[in-house]
Amino acid sequence: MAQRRGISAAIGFVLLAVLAAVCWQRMAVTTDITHFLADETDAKLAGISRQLAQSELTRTMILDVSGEDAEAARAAARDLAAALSDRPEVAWLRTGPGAFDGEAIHRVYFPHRTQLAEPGELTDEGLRAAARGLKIELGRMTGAFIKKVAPADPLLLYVGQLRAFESARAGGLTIEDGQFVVDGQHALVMLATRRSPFDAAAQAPLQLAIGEAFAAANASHGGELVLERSAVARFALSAEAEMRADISRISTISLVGLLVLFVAVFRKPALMVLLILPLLLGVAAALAACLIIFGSVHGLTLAFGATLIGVCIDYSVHLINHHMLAPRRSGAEVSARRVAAGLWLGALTTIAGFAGLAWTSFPGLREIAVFASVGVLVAVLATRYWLPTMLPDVAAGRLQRALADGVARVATGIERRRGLAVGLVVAAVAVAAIGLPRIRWTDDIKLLTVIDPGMLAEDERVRERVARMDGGRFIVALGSGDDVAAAEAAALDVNDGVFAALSAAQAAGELGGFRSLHTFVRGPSEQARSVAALRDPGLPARLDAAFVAEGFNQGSFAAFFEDVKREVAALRIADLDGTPLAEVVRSFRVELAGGSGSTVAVLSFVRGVADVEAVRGRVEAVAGAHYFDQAATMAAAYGRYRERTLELVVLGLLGVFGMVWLRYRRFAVAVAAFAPAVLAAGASLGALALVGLDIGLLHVVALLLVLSMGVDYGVFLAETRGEPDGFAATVLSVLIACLSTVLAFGLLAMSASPALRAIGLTVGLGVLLSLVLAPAALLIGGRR
Amino acid sequence: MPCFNASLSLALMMCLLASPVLAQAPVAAPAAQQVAPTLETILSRFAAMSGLSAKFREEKRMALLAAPLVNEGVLYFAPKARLARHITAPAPATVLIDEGMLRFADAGGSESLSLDQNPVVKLFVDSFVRIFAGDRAALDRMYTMELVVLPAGVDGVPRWTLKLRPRVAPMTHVIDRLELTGRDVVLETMTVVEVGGDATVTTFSEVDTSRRFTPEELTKLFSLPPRAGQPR
Repeated sequence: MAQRRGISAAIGFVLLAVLAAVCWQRMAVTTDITHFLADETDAKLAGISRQLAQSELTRTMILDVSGEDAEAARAAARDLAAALSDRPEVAWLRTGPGAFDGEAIHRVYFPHRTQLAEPGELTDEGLRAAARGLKIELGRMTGAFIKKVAPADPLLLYVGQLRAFESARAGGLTIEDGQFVVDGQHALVMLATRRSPFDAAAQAPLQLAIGEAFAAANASHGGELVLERSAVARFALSAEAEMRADISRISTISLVGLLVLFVAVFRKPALMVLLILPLLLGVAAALAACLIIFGSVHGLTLAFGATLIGVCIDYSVHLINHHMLAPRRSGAEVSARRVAAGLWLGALTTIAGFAGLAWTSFPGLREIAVFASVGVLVAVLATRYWLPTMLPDVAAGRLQRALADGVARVATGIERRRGLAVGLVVAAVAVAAIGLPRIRWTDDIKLLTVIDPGMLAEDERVRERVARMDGGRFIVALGSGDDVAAAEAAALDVNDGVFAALSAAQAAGELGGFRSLHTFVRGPSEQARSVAALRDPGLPARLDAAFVAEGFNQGSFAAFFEDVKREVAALRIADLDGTPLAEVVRSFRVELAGGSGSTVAVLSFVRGVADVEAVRGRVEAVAGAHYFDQAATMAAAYGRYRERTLELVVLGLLGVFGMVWLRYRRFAVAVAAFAPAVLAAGASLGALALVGLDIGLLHVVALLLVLSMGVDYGVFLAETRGEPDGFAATVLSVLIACLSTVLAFGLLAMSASPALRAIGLTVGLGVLLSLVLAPAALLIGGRR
Repeated sequence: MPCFNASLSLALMMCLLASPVLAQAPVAAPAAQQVAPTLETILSRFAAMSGLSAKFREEKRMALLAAPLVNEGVLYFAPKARLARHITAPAPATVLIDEGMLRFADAGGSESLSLDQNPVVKLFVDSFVRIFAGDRAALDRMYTMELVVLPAGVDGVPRWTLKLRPRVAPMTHVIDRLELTGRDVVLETMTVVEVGGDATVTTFSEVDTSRRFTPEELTKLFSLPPRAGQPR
């Protein structure tokens, strides 16, 4: 028998070692916020947002070196670039535009000029106006250049295209000594990384190297320079560091607190180790499962994992407490069998609550569902089958017994004074009833992460200098097709409509400005309309007449009409490869993965949106176009998820109640086991609302924990309702479990992370209320 | 079809042509000098010039148009390489060359071009800086030069024609030759003959060769007007 127990114990340790090894080998933490973006609702927009988060847009960094001495700033920027350019993580880096290859632009655009005409401007009056315009151009500074192109381009379609490039130039960039400079004093280094900005392993060394390279460059150029950066990676790194620090600090203090609690109650250090073993196995299994299934684990999932300590340790506390307080020494296996039903019911109700999250469309929450379900299941299995193989037959100490007697007396006291129990329940109902209607829901993404305000301000300063477009707000033109080329063509056609809508919005003062791919490449439909209009058989004679009337020699533009007759394929984005514009247009185009066929999104960036609804109305009147505000879209997605989660919570509760009723077959007992958790959850949310806190998605998710633990308490108590000794032991178990949870969650509530704070406050308060309400409810309605 | 850069460069060059050549005008004061000028004396006078203002009339003759386009205006030059060219008729426009930038403004708006960003344009600009600097060696690398001294007129002052033919690409693709005519060391006309036959003839008058600019004038004259196209 002892040998069998030894083998079982060893198997458990081997399993723990294997799981730990898997975690060690595969450990990859991400803070990528897109894990918490829905991929079901508004799938395409969410897909765009997620892919943008991984695209070159977010992988691009701007380093801004500034100082009173502009020359020193430029020199330091060059040194900084030289120090970084060879790093393997740097995909490309530049300090200036490089040699301007006008030939390449000419080769691409001049043959396509016939696809750039506006058919509406080819009237007789329009042609006269074009002739006057050409004459003015010939007299200008660039007249000699105009003269060279005019015979083959009397409408100056190519020249207009070159001018459009100039007007599309972003921000206030100038070029000095071949370097990007803003306001004369800010020398820029632009670079893109090879890997995601959320890949901490790649980004942390690079950010460190940037700091060191700048320090060296600054030292060589007077030491008075300032480096400012705009890089998504910095926020990701900062959030991860903050989260790691929080988790580390909270886990450590939580463990120390738990040890102190358990030493006080159970006295024997060996018991404390045994208490923690099922929890360790549960967390290791949960982590390994996430790493194997998802490839990485999100910081929020890890934070959530830390909170599972509060749930899983309850099982071993419950078993050990009962085992030590049992009136007869009959072995740990017997004790485990006695509490097994309560453990299973508690665990299954918890899993039922979390499993609902697996059906959501948020990858991050599916990860939490897997983590919680696996963790709880393995922890309860370990408590039931592994822990008894190692648990010695030891009697309770004086303090433990005194506590058990004490809580039993309190329970008896409450039972005698039912008014007190009723009063507690009524007070909780009152807090819930007053507070819940006052809830202010918020779906602000800021609830999920910590953003250093100083870093944010620095980032905004740099972006304002360079891009001068609103961050996270753009127009999306979507095109689909059998292949990427067809999808891109469709998207470009939609984008032409977006360009017209935004131009009208700008003219109406609803919009400060915008940047559109239309400036560089138009859709094939618009290009075809241009060629068709220029091939109007009557146009050559009308054009000649209009131009002669304005002083041009007859027949000067035969070359143009010869070119109009030539068949030229529509200009595509890929045609710009090898020109200085290739990199400019890249940021406008996103290829969306997934689904059948191909989808391409063409983005337009906007600035100074004065009337959001007016601009949105104009844009969304174009079929296939969407006004996209990243923050608003994500907030809406969170809002929808919050509502969906609440629905799942309600459905889960019905399931949990069904399980509890099936176990006890008595309505009063089932309600007594189940209702305190619901009441505690409601009262804790109500209390948070009453003190003025905004409630968001994570508070709702945290409710699941409250309900899970609250139902566990109710079930544990209901299981021993007819045994005076067992009931006292259970009340003590619940007290210890509650204290351990509060230790963990009370600390979470002090976290710098709004996400962890939300979880900590909700769960800490909810569990405390559960501790009070669970015995009270049972004493009122279901003790017998 | 010439390349974009070369074509634009031509336009830039045509603006720039006026500056260094006229730069010699201020030092042309001794009208009574009878000694026939040499290339060296002309270039050394260019280098010694301290400031200049002049009126100009520019005729652009091109195959496209039945009649030439005419621009009239005022030109200012301040050492070492600041040029302002204000067209007053038929429509106001301004061209500035200063600190490595070329700026242009008229009623249609304004444009600017970094010379660093466009090495071809910079080549043209540099070529005129060399003339202004009297850098014979550099000019020899860029042009073949031929000075023809004509017999003195009734005023007894010798006249001359300096022909410069580009010898480096891409200027050779665009410009056939420059022809400068002068009296003593004062430039009177400048003709740019393009490959293909079109020509721009600029005639200078009321040349003030001793013009010195106050700081206020430098600020006002060598910057774009407050409203595009507004003349000084």
